[in-house]
Amino acid sequence: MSTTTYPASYRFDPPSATASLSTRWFAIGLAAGVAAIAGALSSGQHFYRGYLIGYMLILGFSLGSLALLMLGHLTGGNWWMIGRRVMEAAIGNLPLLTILFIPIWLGRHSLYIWLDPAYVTAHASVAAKGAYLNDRFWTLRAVIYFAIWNLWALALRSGSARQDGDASPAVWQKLKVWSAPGMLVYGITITLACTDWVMSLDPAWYSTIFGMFFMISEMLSVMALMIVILCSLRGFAPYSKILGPDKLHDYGKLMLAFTMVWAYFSFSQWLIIWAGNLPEEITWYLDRIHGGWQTVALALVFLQFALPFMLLLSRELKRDARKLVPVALLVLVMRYVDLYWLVAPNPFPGTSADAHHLTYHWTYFAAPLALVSIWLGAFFWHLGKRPLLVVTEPMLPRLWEPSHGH
Amino acid sequence: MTDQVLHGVVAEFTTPDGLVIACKKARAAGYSRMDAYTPYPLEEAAEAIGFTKTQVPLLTLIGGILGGLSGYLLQYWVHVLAYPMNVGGRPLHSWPSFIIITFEMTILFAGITAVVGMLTLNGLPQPYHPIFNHPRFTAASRDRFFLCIEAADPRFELEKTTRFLQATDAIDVAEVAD
Repeated sequence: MSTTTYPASYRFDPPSATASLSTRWFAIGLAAGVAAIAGALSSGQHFYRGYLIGYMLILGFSLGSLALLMLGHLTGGNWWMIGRRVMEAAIGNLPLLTILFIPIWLGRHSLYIWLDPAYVTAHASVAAKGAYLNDRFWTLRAVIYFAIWNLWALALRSGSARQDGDASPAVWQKLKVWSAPGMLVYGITITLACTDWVMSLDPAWYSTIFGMFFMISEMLSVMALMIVILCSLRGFAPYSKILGPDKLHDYGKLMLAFTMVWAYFSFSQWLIIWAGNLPEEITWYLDRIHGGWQTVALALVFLQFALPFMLLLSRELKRDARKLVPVALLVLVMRYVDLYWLVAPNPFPGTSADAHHLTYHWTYFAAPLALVSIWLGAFFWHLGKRPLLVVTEPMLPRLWEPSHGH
Repeated sequence: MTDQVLHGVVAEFTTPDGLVIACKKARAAGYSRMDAYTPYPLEEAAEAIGFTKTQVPLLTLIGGILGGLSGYLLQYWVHVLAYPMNVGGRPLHSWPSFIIITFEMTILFAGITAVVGMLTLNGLPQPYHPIFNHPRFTAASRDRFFLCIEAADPRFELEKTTRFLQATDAIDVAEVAD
């Protein structure tokens, strides 16, 4: 592969639109944040749940990007080269996510029932998990997860910045060296983190596939988000030159694959628990298919799986941005609904109030909206800092070649 | 060659670009009965000669639906009608546990239908094809790209078509007997 000089019309600089997008999202985030804080004062327990739903969603945007970025360093691919700076901007938000975790730590007694000594004494199976599920170890683990994630984000982002000015293979080889163990570390940390922050909301329940389910959910979120962001910036160089129907087709195919794996893991977990029919396992599902929650469950079956699956089978739809973006937006909305269904039906700590009937508090909307907006504001700020493609990428000229050139 | 039936006129190209451009030109000129031969799959060439729609996806869908139905109905017949057995108090018609077999049968039937349907529609394997009469055709599996405009084409005229192909990037244009 020869070193390609690009025609002068090829621009890699981020469009100035990123700055105004950043400001706009920060403004929305601020407004929604004020509303969410008002909600916190009126109903702390609902606010923290809403916050957790939003937090897990934006954490998924960043960690899913981290996973796909490292995967791409090891495997390559045209879709990856196009989306690389988008994913790098997303992992640039990990320091922000570390700060945004503080409210969860502060509100942990309103979120996690196993922090209530009376509950633990009354439930022998939860008391038996005390060596893992206790305040101090839970906090320590959170510190470790964020230290690891920030370390990898820093290494991958600084290495990538160096690549902008230095085409020597040593620079990108080093990124591969970080990526291979990074995949393993991501798998372990996200499994433990989703156990700590989501599964432990119902401390009596357990599922070993939950971590895998979370990983795939995060990657599905990122694939949908990347389609929306890339298509919304398709009017600007360099995306306008390279994001043709064949490239969109790749993104559509990947979103179809992740949609199917999401359904596969969700169904596997449910089938095994249904077949086992053990009291300590099935209660989690019983809470989620009665008292109005079954509507949400069915919405997930049809709108997170069946409808996107059938639509994405169409080749024509995957190659047309105007049709693909609405499907990606549906997937993103359903990611939020899925997290709502995972978080909201759990028992409330410290009160006799139970969540066995469908509950929707307005902070479930305000807090996630604030978090997603702040995340997008910071994301566009990061995206505007670097060229949108890594010019020294050895395989980059492939993006300009006609697709039959391989 | 005069007493033999003609299969068509074949142009030889050294690059995929040359082939694709010639295919597009030929289609624009109104030719419809033609075929392109390449050493590796070239999606653009298929599009350029107008081969955009195939029945294989529809066949695969039908195969998949039939496979899924047969898998489900087989289990229903076994567990509800032919050999009803109480397993841990679950209903005889336990659809969740039927899903896995149903899914696998869908994939199996869809896969088999796709392969068999593809072979039926494209007529492979084909031990003899007139294009093999072209002395240089073996290069189509190495590094050359061929476009054949067939004599069966309603717009085919030996001299005109030959001149048309000579006007492209072809390095060689030859007649091939049927």
